[in-house]
Amino acid sequence: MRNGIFIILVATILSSCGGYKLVNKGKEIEVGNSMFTTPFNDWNSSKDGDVVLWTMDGPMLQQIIFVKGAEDGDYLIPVRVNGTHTLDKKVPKFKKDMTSIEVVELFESTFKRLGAQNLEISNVRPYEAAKTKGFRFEFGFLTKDGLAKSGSTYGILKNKRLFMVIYSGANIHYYDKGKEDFEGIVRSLRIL
Amino acid sequence: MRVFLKCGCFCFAAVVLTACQMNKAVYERPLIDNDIILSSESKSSTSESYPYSIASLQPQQRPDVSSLEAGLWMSVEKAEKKSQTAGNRVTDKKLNDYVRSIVCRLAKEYCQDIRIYIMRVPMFNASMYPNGMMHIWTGLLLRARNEAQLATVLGHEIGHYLRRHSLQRFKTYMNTSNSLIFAQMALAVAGAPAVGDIMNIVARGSLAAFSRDHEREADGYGLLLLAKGGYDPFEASKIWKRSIREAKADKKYSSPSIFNSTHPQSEERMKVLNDLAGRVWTDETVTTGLDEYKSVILPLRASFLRDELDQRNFSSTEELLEILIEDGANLSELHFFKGEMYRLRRKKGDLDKALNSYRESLALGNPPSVVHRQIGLALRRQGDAQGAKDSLKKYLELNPDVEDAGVIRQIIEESEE
Amino acid sequence: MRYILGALMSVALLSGCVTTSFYTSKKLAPETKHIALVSPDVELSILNAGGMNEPQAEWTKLAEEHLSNSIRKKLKTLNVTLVDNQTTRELQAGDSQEVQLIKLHQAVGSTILEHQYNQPFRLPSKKGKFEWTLGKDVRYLKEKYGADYALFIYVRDSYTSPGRATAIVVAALFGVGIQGGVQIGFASLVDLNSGDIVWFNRLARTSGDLRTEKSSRETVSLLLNNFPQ
Repeated sequence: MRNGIFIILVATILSSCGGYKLVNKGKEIEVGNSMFTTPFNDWNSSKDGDVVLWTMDGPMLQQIIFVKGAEDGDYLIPVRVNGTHTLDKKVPKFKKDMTSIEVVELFESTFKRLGAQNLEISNVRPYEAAKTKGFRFEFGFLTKDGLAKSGSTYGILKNKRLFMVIYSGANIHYYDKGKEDFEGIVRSLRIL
Repeated sequence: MRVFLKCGCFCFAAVVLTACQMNKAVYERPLIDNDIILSSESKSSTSESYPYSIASLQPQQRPDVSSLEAGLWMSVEKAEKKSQTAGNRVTDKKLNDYVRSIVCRLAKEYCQDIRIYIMRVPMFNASMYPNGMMHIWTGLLLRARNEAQLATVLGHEIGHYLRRHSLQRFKTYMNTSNSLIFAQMALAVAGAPAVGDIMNIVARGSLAAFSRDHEREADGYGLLLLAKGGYDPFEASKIWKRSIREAKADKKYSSPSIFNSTHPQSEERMKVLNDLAGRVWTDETVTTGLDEYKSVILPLRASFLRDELDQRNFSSTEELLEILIEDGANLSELHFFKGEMYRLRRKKGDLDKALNSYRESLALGNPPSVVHRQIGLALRRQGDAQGAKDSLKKYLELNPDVEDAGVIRQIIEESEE
Repeated sequence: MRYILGALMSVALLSGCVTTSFYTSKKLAPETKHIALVSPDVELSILNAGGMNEPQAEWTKLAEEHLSNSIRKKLKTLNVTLVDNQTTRELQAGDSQEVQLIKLHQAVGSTILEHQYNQPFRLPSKKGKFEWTLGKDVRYLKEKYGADYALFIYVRDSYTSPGRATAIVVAALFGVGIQGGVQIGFASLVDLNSGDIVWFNRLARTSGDLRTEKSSRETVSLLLNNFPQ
């Protein structure tokens, strides 16, 4: 995906699947594959195959991507070539033998392939959520157009499957706007 | 319908034939009237025998505001504004100053007309826009061995600018697309399906044929400017030799499609540039600029190599690493990345190869600090739990303050459970 | 920006309305004295028979002047001065704070076109609301330009070449639809205290002319449709 911005790509994939549904605040919702969470505020949800995307103000401004139990040989996030439906085969896949370090590496390659420029990952650390020992990290990047974005991610490896909640938003205003909600979503995660 | 399809194929064969008839003469042209760039009182460079009749740009020349060329420049200026603040622009000052100095050494009085933008794209390319905006991709900086090889490509791009190749291509494209729509309509009326695609190929083919001659002419300029800039002209063909080795290593490499490649075949370029190098050779001392190049590029090379790995064209990357290892600069880093390449590729036997490369990197004495961590990850995948643990511990021991220490400890603990 | 162009193009022929505007208030804040025209993006071109746009530098230069003059006159009737100088027009790569605000505006503008105008992709949490902002960081622009609001303009105006006109007629004979010249664009007004987009207007039609002072007034009045008074 060399000619576009990542979020535009995601927006295109997802919009092809029939728009957004309301996620009500304060109610527990099953994101999919026995992954549950409770948001503080109203969000809008859209999905493309196994990937679920939530946003408050539009995916170009801020978004949460849920990776809900990727299995051996699955893509972390499917990348399409230039906004078409053709899958980009040059993206690495999740393997069941991966450690958290290799998942961070997988995340990095996938995001770069999605168009993130100057991607910097920081503060990779252990983190417990959904009663499971997982990991967290922060990241920053520029879209191809040069808009600066930040992100924060939580991930766990459970029964050889990968669950992740990937939050990102524009540095100005939008990242901060959804950050507390993201923390709440991570804290209220339940994976059965 | 069949008639139309045949017609399409014939046209495209005809295009190929004309393209193939062009030869060394196009490369040589800049060498014949080689004073166009170098004397300040430039002569008109139009020549009747030459297929393109557009005069070269003069230093600091700007197109007339009512011209098609001005419209082209305006559009590109908008693109240039975006390039200025693009996410993948490399802003490293030392690198920018260095490349700029090479451009000026080559372009002389055109120096101020050309603005460089180094873009983080892991492929072997550079491009010139009609208004003097030049993009240089980091994949080129990774692949050139020395300053002279980089200058070969920069000089080639300057040639495109001087000879206004974009304007010529734009005019052709306008004319081609104009006649195309009527042809397409006629075919659509006749009921021929999918002719749009065929017509597109014809248009693309003829465009490519046109621009391949631009490439040849620009190569000639590159060579000339290289020699006049005091560089060893025999370096010009060497960068093509390297590129050919890499392309051949790619499993998907077959004879390059004439339609997918706007550039002349690398073999032709390599050969002709080598033949012509002697013609521009001067008795003055020439340089390859190897030391200068290394001092600027090597500190940045690891990030270029990481981007290269993300392309996941492992066969060609393997050959590229081989070429760089033959060059011999910072071998420890190169063997480390070779190990990374095998670890990520995951083909049978790759873990052993990865471990060998990591160990080679260690033996050479100057490996990146994560080498023990990567050895640990590779051993863990091989099922050697104890070896993995020892390497991860060694990594923490040597880098006690490292950011990912927490998760590494977690991985060690899990292996003990 | 190519994305914006695509989004605008797709509506050009589909929707019946020439302009559609959204606003949070019909009035400018009291004491409004200055509005800055930030980094306007205008391009005029000829659409040739093959459907390629030939950009026209001379027309574009004139259109930019006409647009700026017409907006200045319009604002004068509201006792507001237009700040339109070289520094508001040039995106200074060195001023990263301003660059980021302008890029954010592009992202918000694209989002409005996608999720506010485009019915199937509306965000249910924003149902019935027009609620978009760049955040309080815009005060940087307030300081820099001494303005109360920032006005952003994006226009692409293409004219049918004789060749294209012929193609359209020929195609019509065979029932094949080919698009002629179009005028598309959007304008947005940002409150430089709150960062809120208080007014947003989309223009899309297959006529209009920015090449002369006189005809550009008509375009500007459409482009500034429902502009707060």
